[in-house]
Amino acid sequence: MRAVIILLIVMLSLPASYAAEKTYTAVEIVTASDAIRNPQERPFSLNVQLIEYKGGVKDDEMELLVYAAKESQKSGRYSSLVRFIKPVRDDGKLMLKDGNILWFYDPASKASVRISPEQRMMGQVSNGDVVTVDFHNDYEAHLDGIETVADGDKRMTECYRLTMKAKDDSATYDKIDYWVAKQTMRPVKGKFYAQSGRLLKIAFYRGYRQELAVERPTEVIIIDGLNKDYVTKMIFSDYKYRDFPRMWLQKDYLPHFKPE
Amino acid sequence: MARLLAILILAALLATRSVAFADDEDLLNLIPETSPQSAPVQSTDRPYHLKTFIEDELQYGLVRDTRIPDGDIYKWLNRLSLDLRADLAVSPELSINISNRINLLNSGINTSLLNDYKEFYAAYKISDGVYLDAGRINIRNGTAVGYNPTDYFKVFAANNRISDDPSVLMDNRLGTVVLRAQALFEKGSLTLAYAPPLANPQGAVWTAQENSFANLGRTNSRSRLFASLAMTFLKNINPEILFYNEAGAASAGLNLSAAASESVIVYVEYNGRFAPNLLAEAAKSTGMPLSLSGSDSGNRLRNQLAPGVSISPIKDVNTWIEYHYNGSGLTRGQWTQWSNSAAYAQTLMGSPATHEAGNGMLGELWTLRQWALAEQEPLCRHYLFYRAAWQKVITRALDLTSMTAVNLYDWSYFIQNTAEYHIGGAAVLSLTLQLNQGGRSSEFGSAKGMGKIKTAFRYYF
Repeated sequence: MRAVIILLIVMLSLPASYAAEKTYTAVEIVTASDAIRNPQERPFSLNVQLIEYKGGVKDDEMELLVYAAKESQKSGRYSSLVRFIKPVRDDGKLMLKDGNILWFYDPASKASVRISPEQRMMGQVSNGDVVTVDFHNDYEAHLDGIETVADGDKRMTECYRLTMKAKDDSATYDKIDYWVAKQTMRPVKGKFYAQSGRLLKIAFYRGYRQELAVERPTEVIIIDGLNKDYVTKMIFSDYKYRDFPRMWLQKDYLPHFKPE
Repeated sequence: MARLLAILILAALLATRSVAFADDEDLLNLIPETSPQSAPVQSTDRPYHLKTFIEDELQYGLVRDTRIPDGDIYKWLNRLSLDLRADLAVSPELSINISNRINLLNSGINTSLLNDYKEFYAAYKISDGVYLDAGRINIRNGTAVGYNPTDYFKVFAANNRISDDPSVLMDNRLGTVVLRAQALFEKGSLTLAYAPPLANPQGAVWTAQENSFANLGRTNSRSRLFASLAMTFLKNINPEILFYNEAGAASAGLNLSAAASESVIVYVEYNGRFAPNLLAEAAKSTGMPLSLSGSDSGNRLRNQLAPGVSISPIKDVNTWIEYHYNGSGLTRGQWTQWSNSAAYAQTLMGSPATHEAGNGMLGELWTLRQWALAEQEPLCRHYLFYRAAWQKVITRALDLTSMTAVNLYDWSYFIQNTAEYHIGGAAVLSLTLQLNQGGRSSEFGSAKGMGKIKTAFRYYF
């Protein structure tokens, strides 16, 4: 009998505690989680290491330096310049995302070739994954509810569950199921879908660490949607503010690029 | 009982808030058990950047008897190359850029050492977005893959003795000595370049590949002016307008590319040249008397076009399909005449009295072919081009590429298939098969080199 009374007290207390919480719209949640993933105010750079695993065994490795700046504060979209560092055969090659346009530049041939965001960079990581993207710009978000999921460190975390649909064809994915930690607005997990509805990849955000004044994820674990033995780890480090001019981020700058 | 009821009700309540245990547990077990750590950070504050590789390529040529003479085709040829690219920051504003390749060719019969001073120039940053470059610079233009009508500085720049592989030619061509100024804006850029005449023309065809110091006669035998305006204000389309003037003959070009979907890029490259046609240019530059009709030395508009589509149908596979039109090239009638001339020349050579005439005619046909090759322009007007690249085939270390060019007059074709095997991040082992196929008098079927088998090893330092 005592248990039933306790249960009733719990039940009655639930709506009261919810009522005390601030409610957020889907856009506010995604915008807040974007601000955790990406520095918002100034151009910045970071080092990205990609490690590909097959069946838990390390299979391939790549290292990049990514420079990102917003096209304008109004549009909120980023343009990014990606410099290949490793493997040594790719050292010096560049990839540019200028608005919705992606270019690949090889200093050996001096050729700039336009590429698609869906083209694979390494492992489960496509070109669209290494360039900086704020989801709230590219996707229409809908809040589905609250869900408790395991985060990248296998801790059960209470999350906002969102569904994000691409606003137009320029987005890398057609749909994303997205989980954001309710207490901290940290991105926890994402499921990324193609236009056909096929699950392309599942991502876990983890390794939160202070970078440019905000606790940001320094690891993203990406699991292939088809073959779950294929896992790619993205490791972010060495965040720096870089006050480079916006005009860097266009095709004709690529031959002038010098790492700073 | 009451406790059980309470647990069941609580469980039901929690279930309405949807807990995704099983799915997550499964996935998380796949995550490699390593603790988050800082990625090794590459130091980027060095005042120089150096990239060097050494490559050895052994090729076996499949030679056949043809009516039309061709260049030197070796049965066996070994090429050892040392390629170096460096840029040195003298100050925050000034840098020196060097690109050089030394090739040692050994056919078993003779050995030659070729040095290509590809680039040597000073780059000066006047202010953010304003640059002045002076020296030998490889200026590349064009959005297409197989044929670039707006790549004005390609003419005579490639070293065809090194390889006939288009990708190798692209990586191994001479820059032109120019003074280049470039201004970048928020939404575009403006480029101006002037190439002065610095040397006498280096025998355009017969001796084009001779190795003199810096080979300036190949790149700077005439005065050239280049300008381009690139615009980036459109959301998806990237237009670039180009202007080029070579010793009074003007060209205007356009490059456009747009994404049709997440995995499809469409593009077009156009150039309008006010120049003589290919027959007349070859005749004028080589002093060759022409027996083929249709030479037009007037500076008339010659359209050149390369529309194409790039598709990534599945992960790791990229394909490019292009149509190539060279309005300066041979028409179908001229091409038929070219083919018939080969047969006729063979007949003339059968008689001592007419041997000389037949030989001269074959020389003419050979010259035309070599001229188009040196200019890197299609010999005829209509071609189809296809290239496919498939990365990580079976194993992550294996990449395959295939390339085909088809002459739409005679349906002869050139096909090249390459398999590259990556050993770690610094070494690449490759096998290439090339084939020129078609009728006996067709463009590719009449090539003396029927095909090649090449194996190469490249190591990056």
